[in-house]
Amino acid sequence: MSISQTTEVPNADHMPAATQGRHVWRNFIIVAVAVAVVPLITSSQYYLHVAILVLINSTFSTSLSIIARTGQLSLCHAGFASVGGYISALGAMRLGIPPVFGIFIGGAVAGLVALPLGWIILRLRGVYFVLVTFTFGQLLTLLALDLQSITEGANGLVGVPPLSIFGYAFVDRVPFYYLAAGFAGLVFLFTWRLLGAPAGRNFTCVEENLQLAESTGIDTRKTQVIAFVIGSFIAGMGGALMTHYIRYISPDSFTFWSSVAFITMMVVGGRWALAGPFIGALIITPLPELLRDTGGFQHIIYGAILILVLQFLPDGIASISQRVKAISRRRAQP
Amino acid sequence: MSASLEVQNVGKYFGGLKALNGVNFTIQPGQIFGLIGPNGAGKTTAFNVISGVLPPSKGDIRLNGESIVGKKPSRIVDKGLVRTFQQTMVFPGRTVLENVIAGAMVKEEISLAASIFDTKAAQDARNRAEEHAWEALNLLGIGHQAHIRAGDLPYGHQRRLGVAVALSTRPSILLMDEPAAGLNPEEKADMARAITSIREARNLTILLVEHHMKMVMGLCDRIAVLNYGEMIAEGSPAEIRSNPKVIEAYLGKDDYE
Repeated sequence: MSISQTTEVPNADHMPAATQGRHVWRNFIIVAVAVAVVPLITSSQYYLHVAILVLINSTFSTSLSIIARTGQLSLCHAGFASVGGYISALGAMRLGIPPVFGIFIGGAVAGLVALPLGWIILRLRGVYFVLVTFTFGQLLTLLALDLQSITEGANGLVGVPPLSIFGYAFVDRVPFYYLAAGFAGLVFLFTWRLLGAPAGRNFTCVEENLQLAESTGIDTRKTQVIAFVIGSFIAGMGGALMTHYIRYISPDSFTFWSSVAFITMMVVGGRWALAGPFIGALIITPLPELLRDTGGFQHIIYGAILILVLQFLPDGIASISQRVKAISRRRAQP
Repeated sequence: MSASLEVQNVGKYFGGLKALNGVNFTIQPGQIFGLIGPNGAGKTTAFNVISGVLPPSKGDIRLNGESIVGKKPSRIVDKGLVRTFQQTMVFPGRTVLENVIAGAMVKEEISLAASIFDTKAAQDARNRAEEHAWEALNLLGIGHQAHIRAGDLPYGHQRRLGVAVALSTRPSILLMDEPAAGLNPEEKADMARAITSIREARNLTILLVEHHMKMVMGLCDRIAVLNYGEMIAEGSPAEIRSNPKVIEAYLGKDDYE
C-alpha cells in the first residue's frame, strides 16, 4: 500500500522514471554535443548538406514512430510533409507570411488534414489502414500536380524564400545546420515527454492490446487519432523546414518512396527505442549517396536492409546495446 | 436507490439467429449475480452487449438508472462498469504495476499539455493512480510481484492481474467472464476467495459468467440461467439447483458436481 515500495526495483529493464530520465538527458547531451561539433570538424558543404538531411529526416522518422506506437503504420507521412512544405512555401511567396510562422501554419494544416482522415480511417486495422494511407499519399501528390494554378504543377515552386528570424536569413549551411539541429532536438524532447506521459503510455496500451485498452476505459480511437494528428503535425513542420532549406518544392519532393524511406529509418533504427528513429535516419539518409552508382538497385538494397534487420534485429539497431548487455550478463553468471 | 444494473428485454440478433431474446434481470447493489448456461446459450453475447462491445438489437440496459445503450466501451468504463476477460488479457510488455496504473489513470482527468510538461497536477494524478494501483494489487494478493513483466507472471496470477486492472478503474459493478477458466483447483479456490474479498472491500456489485458450478453456487446471491438465448430461470442458488428446467437444460443428469 505504501508508495515507497516502488523504490525497490532490482530489474534493470524497469528503472524508476527519474533514473531513466537522467539516462535520457545524459545521452541527449552527449549526442547534442556531437551534433554541435560536426561543423567544426568538416567544412565540406556537401557533408553538411547530408548532415542537415539526417537531422530533418530524424524528425520525420521520430514523428512516424509516434503514430506507430499506437500500432498503425502510415504510408502518407511524406504526404503530410508535402502539405506542410507547400503551405509554408505558398504562404511566403503569395501572401508574404514569414517562413518562421509558415512552418507552424504548415504543420497545423497537416494536422488539420490528418484529423478528419484519421477519424475516418483509424477504424481500419493492419494492412487496410496502410493501403488507405498509401492511396491518400498518392492523392496528395496528384493534387500537387493538378492544381497548376496554385502549385505550378510538375514544375514546382521555384525560389521559395529562406527562413529568417529577426532579419537574419538562414541561407548558409552552417547556421541552417544548427537551426535543423535545434528543431530535431525539440522534436526528440517533445516525443520523449509525450511517450513518457500518461497519454503516451496509452498509445502503447492501444498497440499492445486494443481490446483490453478499450475495456480499461481508454478511448482507443481517440488515442490513435491524437497520435496520428501529432505525428502528421510534426511531419508538416519538418516538410516546411526542408522546403525553406532546399528553397524548392515539387510533387517529387515528398513521394511514396520518401514515406518508405521514413519507415525504413524507423524500423532499422528501432521502433521502440526513443533514439531508434534518429539512429535510423543517421544510417539510411547517406545511403542514396553511397549507392548512387548502383542505379536502379537502390530500392532493392533498401528492401534487403529492411528484411535483414527484421530477421536478425527485429527491434532495430537501438536494441544492440541491450542485447550485448543481456549476453554479457548471461556470461557473467552461468 | 436504483438497481446497479437492469437488463430490460434485451435481444441480440445475428441475421436470423436470435443469440439473445427477451433477457431480463436486475442486479441490486452489492450482489454477486451469476449468469450461467450451457455452451452456446448466449452468455458471452450477453456479456459483450452489456459491456458495450456489441450493440443490442432491442431492449435497454441501465447502469445505476442511466441507459448505457449505444455508448462506447471506454465510456461505459467511465460510468463505472468494467469487465474482465475469459482469456488472459494483460499488457504483456509492462510491469504488473504499470498494467494496473494504466487502468487507474483512466479516472484521472489531466490534459495532454499538463502531462507533457509534467505539471504538479499531472504528478499528483500519477501518485493517486499509483496509490489506487497498489491497493488493487494488494487486494488481489500480487503486490509482491509488482515489478515483474506481466507476460512473465504465472497464468493464475495473470488472471488475477486482469481483475486488478479492472478494479483499479474503481468500478461500481464488475463483470467477470469465467474468472476460473483454465485455473487448477487451488487457483480456483484462491480466485473465489479473491472475489469475495474484493466485494467486501469495495462494496462492489459483481456479475459473474461462469462454467464452474461449485464456484457459482458457492459465491452467488442470485443466478440467472440462459438457454438458446432465452432466460429459463432466475433465483437463489438453492432454487436454481432444484429447478427442473435448469437440470434438464444445463446440469444434465450425471455431471453435476
